[in-house]
Amino acid sequence: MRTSWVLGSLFVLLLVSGLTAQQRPLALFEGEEITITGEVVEINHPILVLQDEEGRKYLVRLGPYWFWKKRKYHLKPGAKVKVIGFKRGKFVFPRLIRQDHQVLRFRDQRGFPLWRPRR
Amino acid sequence: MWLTTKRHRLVFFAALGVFFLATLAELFLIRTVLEKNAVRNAKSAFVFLEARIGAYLETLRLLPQVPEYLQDLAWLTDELQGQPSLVGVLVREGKNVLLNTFPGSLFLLPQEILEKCHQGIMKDEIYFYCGEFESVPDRKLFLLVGIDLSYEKQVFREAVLLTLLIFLTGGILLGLAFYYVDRLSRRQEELEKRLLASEKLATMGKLSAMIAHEIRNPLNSILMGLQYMAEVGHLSPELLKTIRQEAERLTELTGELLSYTKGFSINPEPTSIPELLEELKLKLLPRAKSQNINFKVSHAQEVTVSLDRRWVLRAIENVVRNAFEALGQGGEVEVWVEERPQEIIFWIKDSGPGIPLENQKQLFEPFFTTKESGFGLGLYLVRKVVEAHGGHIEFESRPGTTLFGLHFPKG
Repeated sequence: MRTSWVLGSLFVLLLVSGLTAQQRPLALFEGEEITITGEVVEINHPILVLQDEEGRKYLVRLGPYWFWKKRKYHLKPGAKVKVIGFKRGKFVFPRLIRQDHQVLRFRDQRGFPLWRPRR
Repeated sequence: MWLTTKRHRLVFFAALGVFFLATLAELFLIRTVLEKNAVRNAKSAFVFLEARIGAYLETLRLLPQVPEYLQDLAWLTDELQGQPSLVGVLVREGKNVLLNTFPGSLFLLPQEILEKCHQGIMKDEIYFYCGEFESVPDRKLFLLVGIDLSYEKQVFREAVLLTLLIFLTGGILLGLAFYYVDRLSRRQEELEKRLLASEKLATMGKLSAMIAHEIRNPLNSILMGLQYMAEVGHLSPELLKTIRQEAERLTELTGELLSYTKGFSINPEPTSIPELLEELKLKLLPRAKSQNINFKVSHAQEVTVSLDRRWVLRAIENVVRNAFEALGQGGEVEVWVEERPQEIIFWIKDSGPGIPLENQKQLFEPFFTTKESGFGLGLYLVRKVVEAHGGHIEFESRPGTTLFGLHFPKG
Protein backbone atom coordinates (compact mmCIF):
# COMPACT_ATOMS: atom_id res chain seq x y z
CA MET A 1 0.00 0.00 0.00
CA ARG A 2 2.74 2.46 1.04
CA THR A 3 4.90 1.57 -2.00
CA SER A 4 2.01 2.21 -4.38
CA TRP A 5 1.42 5.60 -2.72
CA VAL A 6 5.09 6.57 -3.14
CA LEU A 7 5.18 5.36 -6.75
CA GLY A 8 1.94 7.17 -7.51
CA SER A 9 3.26 10.42 -6.05
CA LEU A 10 6.50 10.10 -8.04
CA PHE A 11 4.54 9.47 -11.23
CA VAL A 12 2.46 12.58 -10.68
CA LEU A 13 5.58 14.63 -9.96
CA LEU A 14 7.31 13.42 -13.12
CA LEU A 15 4.19 14.07 -15.16
CA VAL A 16 3.90 17.58 -13.83
CA SER A 17 7.62 18.32 -14.29
CA GLY A 18 7.16 17.20 -17.91
CA LEU A 19 4.29 19.61 -18.24
CA THR A 20 6.33 22.46 -16.87
CA ALA A 21 9.26 21.87 -19.22
CA GLN A 22 9.60 24.90 -21.45
CA GLN A 23 8.89 24.54 -25.14
CA ARG A 24 11.55 25.66 -27.63
CA PRO A 25 10.85 29.32 -28.47
CA LEU A 26 10.23 30.39 -32.05
CA ALA A 27 13.03 31.74 -34.23
CA LEU A 28 12.49 35.24 -35.61
CA PHE A 29 14.33 34.51 -38.84
CA GLU A 30 14.49 30.92 -40.02
CA GLY A 31 17.00 29.98 -42.72
CA GLU A 32 17.22 33.55 -43.92
CA GLU A 33 20.67 34.42 -42.72
CA ILE A 34 22.88 36.27 -45.21
CA THR A 35 26.54 37.22 -45.08
CA ILE A 36 27.90 40.42 -46.68
CA THR A 37 31.54 41.39 -46.78
CA GLY A 38 32.34 44.97 -47.65
CA GLU A 39 33.38 48.44 -46.55
CA VAL A 40 31.55 50.92 -44.36
CA VAL A 41 30.66 53.83 -46.62
CA GLU A 42 28.68 55.90 -44.21
CA ILE A 43 27.53 55.55 -40.62
CA ASN A 44 24.74 57.69 -39.28
CA HIS A 45 22.93 56.09 -36.37
CA PRO A 46 20.80 54.04 -36.66
CA ILE A 47 21.78 53.47 -40.32
CA LEU A 48 25.04 52.14 -41.72
CA VAL A 49 25.68 52.10 -45.49
CA LEU A 50 27.74 49.12 -46.58
CA GLN A 51 29.20 48.51 -49.99
CA ASP A 52 30.25 44.97 -51.03
CA GLU A 53 33.03 43.97 -53.39
CA GLU A 54 30.63 44.07 -56.36
CA GLY A 55 29.68 47.64 -55.50
CA ARG A 56 26.15 46.84 -54.19
CA LYS A 57 25.01 49.05 -51.34
CA TYR A 58 23.14 47.80 -48.26
CA LEU A 59 21.30 49.71 -45.57
CA VAL A 60 22.22 48.12 -42.24
CA ARG A 61 19.85 48.89 -39.32
CA LEU A 62 22.08 49.28 -36.30
CA GLY A 63 19.63 49.01 -33.40
CA PRO A 64 19.27 51.57 -30.61
CA TYR A 65 22.13 53.98 -30.05
CA TRP A 66 22.10 53.38 -26.26
CA PHE A 67 22.89 49.73 -26.97
CA TRP A 68 26.03 50.77 -28.87
CA LYS A 69 27.06 53.03 -26.04
CA LYS A 70 26.45 50.35 -23.48
CA ARG A 71 28.44 47.74 -25.39
CA LYS A 72 31.11 50.32 -26.36
CA TYR A 73 30.75 49.42 -30.02
CA HIS A 74 32.51 51.65 -32.50
CA LEU A 75 32.74 51.71 -36.30
CA LYS A 76 34.20 54.26 -38.68
CA PRO A 77 33.67 54.82 -42.39
CA GLY A 78 36.23 52.91 -44.43
CA ALA A 79 36.31 49.94 -42.10
CA LYS A 80 36.31 46.48 -43.71
CA VAL A 81 33.56 44.41 -42.11
CA LYS A 82 31.67 41.19 -42.47
CA VAL A 83 27.95 41.44 -41.66
CA ILE A 84 25.95 38.32 -40.85
CA GLY A 85 22.20 39.02 -40.51
CA PHE A 86 18.76 38.94 -42.03
CA LYS A 87 17.09 40.96 -44.77
CA ARG A 88 13.69 42.61 -44.35
CA GLY A 89 12.43 45.14 -46.86
CA LYS A 90 15.18 47.59 -47.70
CA PHE A 91 17.16 46.80 -44.57
CA VAL A 92 19.66 44.32 -43.29
CA PHE A 93 19.27 43.47 -39.62
CA PRO A 94 22.70 42.31 -38.41
CA ARG A 95 23.15 39.39 -36.02
CA LEU A 96 26.81 40.31 -35.79
CA ILE A 97 29.38 42.56 -37.46
CA ARG A 98 32.95 41.31 -37.59
CA GLN A 99 35.83 43.77 -38.02
CA ASP A 100 39.30 42.27 -37.88
CA HIS A 101 39.22 40.41 -34.54
CA GLN A 102 36.37 42.45 -33.09
CA VAL A 103 32.86 41.03 -33.14
CA LEU A 104 29.87 43.30 -32.52
CA ARG A 105 26.81 41.22 -31.57
CA PHE A 106 23.23 42.50 -32.05
CA ARG A 107 20.96 39.49 -32.11
CA ASP A 108 21.04 35.92 -30.82
CA GLN A 109 21.03 32.75 -32.92
CA ARG A 110 17.23 32.86 -33.23
CA GLY A 111 17.27 36.46 -34.38
CA PHE A 112 16.03 38.09 -31.20
CA PRO A 113 17.58 41.53 -30.50
CA LEU A 114 20.02 41.49 -27.56
CA TRP A 115 18.42 44.67 -26.20
CA ARG A 116 15.05 42.92 -25.92
CA PRO A 117 14.37 42.44 -22.17
CA ARG A 118 13.77 38.88 -21.01
CA ARG A 119 10.26 38.08 -19.69
CA MET B 1 -8.36 -0.80 4.46
CA TRP B 2 -6.37 1.43 6.77
CA LEU B 3 -9.53 3.16 8.02
CA THR B 4 -11.56 0.52 9.81
CA THR B 5 -14.58 2.63 10.68
CA LYS B 6 -17.01 3.07 7.80
CA ARG B 7 -17.98 6.54 9.05
CA HIS B 8 -14.32 7.63 9.12
CA ARG B 9 -13.82 6.32 5.59
CA LEU B 10 -16.84 8.26 4.36
CA VAL B 11 -15.77 11.48 6.07
CA PHE B 12 -12.20 11.08 4.79
CA PHE B 13 -13.28 10.63 1.17
CA ALA B 14 -15.79 13.46 1.49
CA ALA B 15 -13.04 15.75 2.86
CA LEU B 16 -10.68 14.63 0.09
CA GLY B 17 -13.41 15.32 -2.47
CA VAL B 18 -14.00 18.81 -1.12
CA PHE B 19 -10.25 19.42 -1.12
CA PHE B 20 -10.01 18.21 -4.73
CA LEU B 21 -12.89 20.46 -5.84
CA ALA B 22 -11.28 23.42 -4.07
CA THR B 23 -8.02 22.61 -5.91
CA LEU B 24 -9.82 22.52 -9.26
CA ALA B 25 -11.58 25.79 -8.47
CA GLU B 26 -8.24 27.38 -7.58
CA LEU B 27 -6.69 26.25 -10.89
CA PHE B 28 -9.72 27.50 -12.81
CA LEU B 29 -9.41 30.87 -11.09
CA ILE B 30 -5.68 31.14 -11.84
CA ARG B 31 -6.30 30.22 -15.48
CA THR B 32 -9.07 32.81 -15.81
CA VAL B 33 -6.89 35.54 -14.29
CA LEU B 34 -3.98 34.68 -16.61
CA GLU B 35 -6.24 34.68 -19.68
CA LYS B 36 -7.72 38.05 -18.75
CA ASN B 37 -4.22 39.39 -18.24
CA ALA B 38 -3.18 38.11 -21.69
CA VAL B 39 -6.15 39.83 -23.33
CA ARG B 40 -5.33 43.05 -21.51
CA ASN B 41 -1.68 42.84 -22.63
CA ALA B 42 -2.72 42.24 -26.26
CA LYS B 43 -5.01 45.26 -26.24
CA SER B 44 -2.28 47.41 -24.66
CA ALA B 45 0.17 46.25 -27.34
CA PHE B 46 -2.37 47.07 -30.02
CA VAL B 47 -2.83 50.59 -28.64
CA PHE B 48 0.96 51.01 -28.47
CA LEU B 49 1.27 49.92 -32.12
CA GLU B 50 -1.49 52.34 -33.18
CA ALA B 51 0.34 55.18 -31.45
CA ARG B 52 3.72 54.22 -32.89
CA ILE B 53 2.54 53.74 -36.48
CA GLY B 54 0.40 56.87 -36.20
CA ALA B 55 3.35 59.00 -35.05
CA TYR B 56 5.58 57.49 -37.75
CA LEU B 57 3.12 58.17 -40.57
CA GLU B 58 2.42 61.69 -39.30
CA THR B 59 6.17 62.44 -39.28
CA LEU B 60 6.58 61.12 -42.84
CA ARG B 61 3.65 63.23 -43.94
CA LEU B 62 5.09 66.42 -42.45
CA LEU B 63 8.68 66.00 -43.67
CA PRO B 64 9.33 67.91 -46.93
CA GLN B 65 11.74 65.28 -48.28
CA VAL B 66 11.61 61.75 -47.00
CA PRO B 67 14.45 59.34 -47.81
CA GLU B 68 13.18 56.34 -49.71
CA TYR B 69 14.37 53.84 -47.13
CA LEU B 70 12.48 55.68 -44.40
CA GLN B 71 9.23 55.04 -46.22
CA ASP B 72 9.71 51.33 -45.65
CA LEU B 73 7.88 50.35 -42.46
CA ALA B 74 10.53 47.65 -41.91
CA TRP B 75 12.32 50.62 -40.32
CA LEU B 76 10.33 49.83 -37.17
CA THR B 77 11.41 46.16 -37.04
CA ASP B 78 14.25 46.70 -34.55
CA GLU B 79 12.05 48.69 -32.23
CA LEU B 80 9.08 46.30 -32.34
CA GLN B 81 11.18 43.16 -32.00
CA GLY B 82 12.72 44.77 -28.94
CA GLN B 83 9.36 44.52 -27.10
CA PRO B 84 9.58 41.48 -24.80
CA SER B 85 5.99 40.26 -25.00
CA LEU B 86 5.42 41.01 -28.66
CA VAL B 87 5.80 37.94 -30.88
CA GLY B 88 5.13 39.86 -34.04
CA VAL B 89 3.29 42.67 -35.79
CA LEU B 90 1.55 42.68 -39.15
CA VAL B 91 0.71 45.98 -40.88
CA ARG B 92 -1.23 45.77 -44.12
CA GLU B 93 -2.70 48.38 -46.44
CA GLY B 94 -5.28 46.57 -48.52
CA LYS B 95 -3.50 43.46 -49.81
CA ASN B 96 -0.08 45.13 -49.52
CA VAL B 97 1.97 43.97 -46.51
CA LEU B 98 3.88 46.99 -45.15
CA LEU B 99 5.46 45.30 -42.13
CA ASN B 100 5.66 41.76 -40.82
CA THR B 101 7.85 41.07 -37.84
CA PHE B 102 6.43 37.62 -37.06
CA PRO B 103 8.93 34.79 -36.71
CA GLY B 104 9.71 32.71 -39.77
CA SER B 105 7.28 29.89 -39.02
CA LEU B 106 4.45 32.37 -38.53
CA PHE B 107 5.38 34.70 -41.35
CA LEU B 108 2.45 33.50 -43.41
CA LEU B 109 -0.30 33.74 -40.84
CA PRO B 110 -3.10 31.17 -41.15
CA GLN B 111 -6.38 32.46 -42.58
CA GLU B 112 -8.20 31.38 -39.42
CA ILE B 113 -6.19 33.89 -37.37
CA LEU B 114 -6.76 36.73 -39.83
CA GLU B 115 -10.50 36.07 -39.76
CA LYS B 116 -10.96 35.68 -36.02
CA CYS B 117 -8.37 38.10 -34.65
CA HIS B 118 -10.89 40.94 -34.28
CA GLN B 119 -12.38 39.19 -31.25
CA GLY B 120 -9.00 37.91 -30.18
CA ILE B 121 -7.83 34.35 -30.75
CA MET B 122 -5.43 32.12 -28.88
CA LYS B 123 -3.28 29.70 -30.82
CA ASP B 124 -0.39 27.65 -29.47
CA GLU B 125 1.20 30.06 -27.04
CA ILE B 126 0.26 33.29 -28.82
CA TYR B 127 -2.74 35.57 -28.45
CA PHE B 128 -3.64 37.42 -31.67
CA TYR B 129 -5.59 40.65 -31.74
CA CYS B 130 -6.26 42.95 -34.72
CA GLY B 131 -8.24 45.93 -35.94
CA GLU B 132 -8.51 48.63 -38.59
CA PHE B 133 -6.60 51.87 -38.13
CA GLU B 134 -6.66 55.22 -39.94
CA SER B 135 -4.10 57.63 -38.53
CA VAL B 136 -3.71 59.93 -41.56
CA PRO B 137 -6.20 60.74 -44.35
CA ASP B 138 -6.60 58.11 -47.07
CA ARG B 139 -4.39 55.56 -45.34
CA LYS B 140 -6.49 52.79 -43.88
CA LEU B 141 -4.33 50.14 -42.28
CA PHE B 142 -4.95 46.70 -40.88
CA LEU B 143 -2.92 46.08 -37.70
CA LEU B 144 -2.39 42.71 -36.05
CA VAL B 145 -0.38 41.97 -32.93
CA GLY B 146 0.67 38.59 -31.52
CA ILE B 147 1.35 38.42 -27.80
CA ASP B 148 3.61 35.78 -26.31
CA LEU B 149 1.71 33.67 -23.76
CA SER B 150 4.58 31.32 -22.93
CA TYR B 151 5.15 33.11 -19.64
CA GLU B 152 1.48 32.84 -18.65
CA LYS B 153 1.47 29.17 -19.72
CA GLN B 154 4.58 28.56 -17.68
CA VAL B 155 3.02 30.30 -14.68
CA PHE B 156 -0.07 28.10 -15.11
CA ARG B 157 2.01 24.92 -15.39
CA GLU B 158 3.90 25.88 -12.24
CA ALA B 159 0.60 26.64 -10.53
CA VAL B 160 -0.62 23.15 -11.54
CA LEU B 161 2.56 21.61 -10.14
CA LEU B 162 2.31 23.55 -6.88
CA THR B 163 -1.40 22.87 -6.55
CA LEU B 164 -0.82 19.16 -7.13
CA LEU B 165 1.94 19.16 -4.54
CA ILE B 166 -0.35 20.96 -2.09
CA PHE B 167 -3.13 18.49 -2.90
CA LEU B 168 -0.81 15.52 -2.42
CA THR B 169 0.59 16.89 0.83
CA GLY B 170 -2.86 17.86 2.07
CA GLY B 171 -4.23 14.45 1.09
CA ILE B 172 -1.42 12.67 2.92
CA LEU B 173 -1.88 14.86 6.02
CA LEU B 174 -5.63 14.33 5.89
CA GLY B 175 -5.08 10.59 5.56
CA LEU B 176 -2.68 10.57 8.50
CA ALA B 177 -5.07 12.61 10.61
CA PHE B 178 -7.92 10.23 9.87
CA TYR B 179 -5.66 7.22 10.43
CA TYR B 180 -4.82 8.46 13.93
CA VAL B 181 -8.42 9.43 14.66
CA ASP B 182 -9.48 5.95 13.59
CA ARG B 183 -6.79 4.33 15.72
CA LEU B 184 -7.69 6.47 18.74
CA SER B 185 -11.34 5.70 18.25
CA ARG B 186 -10.64 1.94 18.17
CA ARG B 187 -8.44 2.26 21.23
CA GLN B 188 -11.18 4.19 23.00
CA GLU B 189 -13.71 1.49 22.14
CA GLU B 190 -11.40 -1.18 23.51
CA LEU B 191 -10.82 0.83 26.69
CA GLU B 192 -14.53 1.39 27.12
CA LYS B 193 -15.16 -2.33 26.78
CA ARG B 194 -12.46 -3.09 29.33
CA LEU B 195 -13.81 -0.44 31.67
CA LEU B 196 -17.29 -1.87 31.37
CA ALA B 197 -15.98 -5.35 32.08
CA SER B 198 -14.05 -4.03 35.11
CA GLU B 199 -17.12 -2.20 36.36
CA LYS B 200 -19.19 -5.34 35.99
CA LEU B 201 -16.60 -7.29 37.94
CA ALA B 202 -16.51 -4.63 40.67
CA THR B 203 -20.30 -4.63 40.87
CA MET B 204 -20.34 -8.39 41.04
CA GLY B 205 -17.83 -8.23 43.88
CA LYS B 206 -19.90 -5.64 45.75
CA LEU B 207 -23.07 -7.62 45.27
CA SER B 208 -21.41 -10.82 46.43
CA ALA B 209 -20.13 -9.07 49.55
CA MET B 210 -23.56 -7.61 50.24
CA ILE B 211 -25.32 -10.93 49.77
CA ALA B 212 -22.78 -12.76 51.93
CA HIS B 213 -23.16 -10.14 54.65
CA GLU B 214 -26.97 -10.24 54.55
CA ILE B 215 -27.08 -14.04 54.59
CA ARG B 216 -24.41 -14.66 57.21
CA ASN B 217 -26.27 -13.11 60.22
CA PRO B 218 -29.57 -15.00 59.81
CA LEU B 219 -27.66 -18.20 59.07
CA ASN B 220 -25.59 -17.74 62.24
CA SER B 221 -28.76 -17.24 64.28
CA ILE B 222 -30.32 -20.37 62.77
CA LEU B 223 -27.19 -22.46 63.34
CA MET B 224 -26.73 -21.26 66.90
CA GLY B 225 -30.39 -21.95 67.72
CA LEU B 226 -30.22 -25.44 66.25
CA GLN B 227 -26.95 -26.16 68.04
CA TYR B 228 -28.39 -25.02 71.35
CA MET B 229 -31.49 -27.19 70.94
CA ALA B 230 -29.29 -30.15 69.99
CA GLU B 231 -27.22 -29.65 73.14
CA VAL B 232 -30.18 -29.31 75.52
CA GLY B 233 -32.05 -32.14 73.80
CA HIS B 234 -35.46 -30.48 73.44
CA LEU B 235 -37.17 -27.96 71.17
CA SER B 236 -37.48 -24.42 72.41
CA PRO B 237 -40.57 -22.60 71.07
CA GLU B 238 -38.81 -19.25 71.40
CA LEU B 239 -35.77 -20.43 69.44
CA LEU B 240 -38.00 -22.03 66.82
CA LYS B 241 -39.77 -18.69 66.41
CA THR B 242 -36.43 -16.93 65.96
CA ILE B 243 -35.27 -19.59 63.48
CA ARG B 244 -38.48 -19.15 61.54
CA GLN B 245 -38.13 -15.34 61.53
CA GLU B 246 -34.54 -15.59 60.29
CA ALA B 247 -35.53 -18.06 57.58
CA GLU B 248 -38.35 -15.68 56.52
CA ARG B 249 -35.78 -12.87 56.42
CA LEU B 250 -33.60 -14.93 54.12
CA THR B 251 -36.58 -15.72 51.87
CA GLU B 252 -37.44 -12.01 51.77
CA LEU B 253 -33.84 -11.14 50.91
CA THR B 254 -33.65 -13.61 48.04
CA GLY B 255 -36.97 -12.28 46.78
CA GLU B 256 -35.61 -8.73 46.82
CA LEU B 257 -32.47 -9.72 45.03
CA LEU B 258 -34.46 -11.47 42.34
CA SER B 259 -36.67 -8.43 41.97
CA TYR B 260 -33.66 -6.32 40.92
CA THR B 261 -33.15 -8.51 37.91
CA LYS B 262 -36.69 -9.60 37.10
CA GLY B 263 -38.45 -6.37 37.94
CA PHE B 264 -41.07 -5.79 40.57
CA SER B 265 -44.23 -7.70 40.84
CA ILE B 266 -46.29 -5.80 43.37
CA ASN B 267 -49.39 -7.07 45.08
CA PRO B 268 -51.45 -4.02 46.01
CA GLU B 269 -53.93 -4.49 48.82
CA PRO B 270 -55.94 -2.05 50.91
CA THR B 271 -53.39 -0.53 53.26
CA SER B 272 -54.07 1.66 56.25
CA ILE B 273 -51.71 4.58 56.02
CA PRO B 274 -51.64 5.39 59.80
CA GLU B 275 -50.80 1.75 60.52
CA LEU B 276 -48.05 1.78 57.91
CA LEU B 277 -46.53 4.89 59.42
CA GLU B 278 -46.82 3.48 62.92
CA GLU B 279 -44.89 0.41 61.86
CA LEU B 280 -42.26 2.65 60.28
CA LYS B 281 -41.92 4.62 63.49
CA LEU B 282 -41.57 1.50 65.62
CA LYS B 283 -38.95 0.11 63.31
CA LEU B 284 -36.76 3.20 63.06
CA LEU B 285 -37.22 5.00 66.39
CA PRO B 286 -34.51 2.98 68.20
CA ARG B 287 -31.92 3.95 65.62
CA ALA B 288 -33.06 7.59 65.65
CA LYS B 289 -32.63 7.66 69.43
CA SER B 290 -29.20 6.06 69.20
CA GLN B 291 -28.15 8.85 66.82
CA ASN B 292 -29.87 11.53 68.90
CA ILE B 293 -32.13 12.45 65.99
CA ASN B 294 -35.54 14.00 66.50
CA PHE B 295 -37.63 11.58 64.43
CA LYS B 296 -41.23 12.72 63.91
CA VAL B 297 -43.92 10.74 62.11
CA SER B 298 -47.24 12.57 61.68
CA HIS B 299 -50.36 10.46 61.35
CA ALA B 300 -53.16 11.52 59.11
CA GLN B 301 -56.75 10.63 59.71
CA GLU B 302 -57.66 7.10 58.75
CA VAL B 303 -56.92 6.63 55.07
CA THR B 304 -56.83 3.34 53.23
CA VAL B 305 -55.11 3.13 49.87
CA SER B 306 -54.36 0.19 47.60
CA LEU B 307 -50.57 -0.32 47.93
CA ASP B 308 -48.07 -3.12 48.25
CA ARG B 309 -47.61 -2.58 51.93
CA ARG B 310 -44.30 -4.41 52.31
CA TRP B 311 -42.56 -2.65 49.40
CA VAL B 312 -43.93 0.83 50.20
CA LEU B 313 -42.77 0.47 53.79
CA ARG B 314 -39.36 -0.62 52.55
CA ALA B 315 -39.16 2.36 50.16
CA ILE B 316 -40.03 4.96 52.84
CA GLU B 317 -37.66 3.19 55.23
CA ASN B 318 -34.83 3.47 52.69
CA VAL B 319 -35.33 7.23 52.31
CA VAL B 320 -35.45 7.71 56.10
CA ARG B 321 -32.35 5.51 56.62
CA ASN B 322 -30.51 7.63 54.06
CA ALA B 323 -31.55 10.74 56.00
CA PHE B 324 -30.23 9.21 59.24
CA GLU B 325 -26.93 8.43 57.55
CA ALA B 326 -26.69 11.96 56.16
CA LEU B 327 -27.36 13.51 59.59
CA GLY B 328 -24.86 11.44 61.59
CA GLN B 329 -25.54 12.74 65.11
CA GLY B 330 -28.40 15.11 65.98
CA GLY B 331 -30.77 16.82 63.60
CA GLU B 332 -34.35 16.22 62.60
CA VAL B 333 -36.23 13.87 60.32
CA GLU B 334 -39.94 14.26 59.71
CA VAL B 335 -42.35 12.01 57.84
CA TRP B 336 -45.92 12.99 57.04
CA VAL B 337 -48.65 12.18 54.58
CA GLU B 338 -50.59 14.46 52.28
CA GLU B 339 -53.78 13.27 50.74
CA ARG B 340 -54.87 14.71 47.44
CA PRO B 341 -57.92 13.80 45.35
CA GLN B 342 -55.96 11.57 42.93
CA GLU B 343 -52.92 10.62 44.97
CA ILE B 344 -51.33 10.18 48.30
CA ILE B 345 -47.89 11.63 48.99
CA PHE B 346 -45.39 10.52 51.61
CA TRP B 347 -43.12 13.47 52.48
CA ILE B 348 -39.75 12.82 54.12
CA LYS B 349 -37.81 15.87 55.24
CA ASP B 350 -34.44 16.05 56.96
CA SER B 351 -32.18 18.82 58.24
CA GLY B 352 -29.01 17.29 56.81
CA PRO B 353 -26.27 18.95 54.73
CA GLY B 354 -28.16 18.40 51.45
CA ILE B 355 -27.29 16.47 48.30
CA PRO B 356 -24.55 18.00 46.12
CA LEU B 357 -25.89 19.28 42.81
CA GLU B 358 -23.59 17.04 40.73
CA ASN B 359 -25.02 13.93 42.42
CA GLN B 360 -28.67 14.82 42.08
CA LYS B 361 -29.08 13.55 38.50
CA GLN B 362 -27.77 10.08 39.32
CA LEU B 363 -29.45 9.76 42.66
CA PHE B 364 -31.93 7.09 41.60
CA GLU B 365 -29.53 5.15 39.32
CA PRO B 366 -28.57 1.62 40.38
CA PHE B 367 -25.16 1.25 42.07
CA PHE B 368 -24.72 4.99 42.48
CA THR B 369 -23.47 5.76 45.94
CA THR B 370 -21.24 8.25 47.73
CA LYS B 371 -20.94 6.06 50.82
CA GLU B 372 -17.98 3.80 51.32
CA SER B 373 -20.08 0.91 52.61
CA GLY B 374 -23.15 1.42 50.43
CA PHE B 375 -24.20 -0.49 47.33
CA GLY B 376 -26.22 2.27 45.68
CA LEU B 377 -29.41 0.24 45.57
CA GLY B 378 -31.50 1.99 48.26
CA LEU B 379 -32.90 4.89 46.27
CA TYR B 380 -32.98 2.76 43.10
CA LEU B 381 -35.36 0.46 44.98
CA VAL B 382 -37.44 3.48 46.05
CA ARG B 383 -37.80 4.52 42.41
CA LYS B 384 -38.71 1.01 41.30
CA VAL B 385 -41.36 0.71 44.01
CA VAL B 386 -42.94 4.08 43.21
CA GLU B 387 -42.87 3.45 39.44
CA ALA B 388 -44.30 -0.02 39.88
CA HIS B 389 -47.32 1.66 41.54
CA GLY B 390 -47.58 4.17 38.65
CA GLY B 391 -46.33 7.03 40.79
CA HIS B 392 -43.37 9.34 40.74
CA ILE B 393 -40.78 10.91 43.02
CA GLU B 394 -39.99 14.56 43.55
CA PHE B 395 -37.24 16.00 45.63
CA GLU B 396 -35.44 19.19 46.39
CA SER B 397 -32.28 19.65 48.36
CA ARG B 398 -30.22 22.52 49.68
CA PRO B 399 -27.90 22.78 52.66
CA GLY B 400 -30.01 22.31 55.80
CA THR B 401 -33.08 20.85 54.12
CA THR B 402 -33.77 17.87 51.89
CA LEU B 403 -37.31 16.94 50.99
CA PHE B 404 -38.47 13.77 49.22
CA GLY B 405 -42.05 13.28 48.02
CA LEU B 406 -43.19 9.77 47.08
CA HIS B 407 -46.37 10.13 44.99
CA PHE B 408 -48.66 7.08 44.83
CA PRO B 409 -51.86 7.21 42.80
CA LYS B 410 -54.96 6.25 44.66
CA GLY B 411 -56.52 4.20 41.92
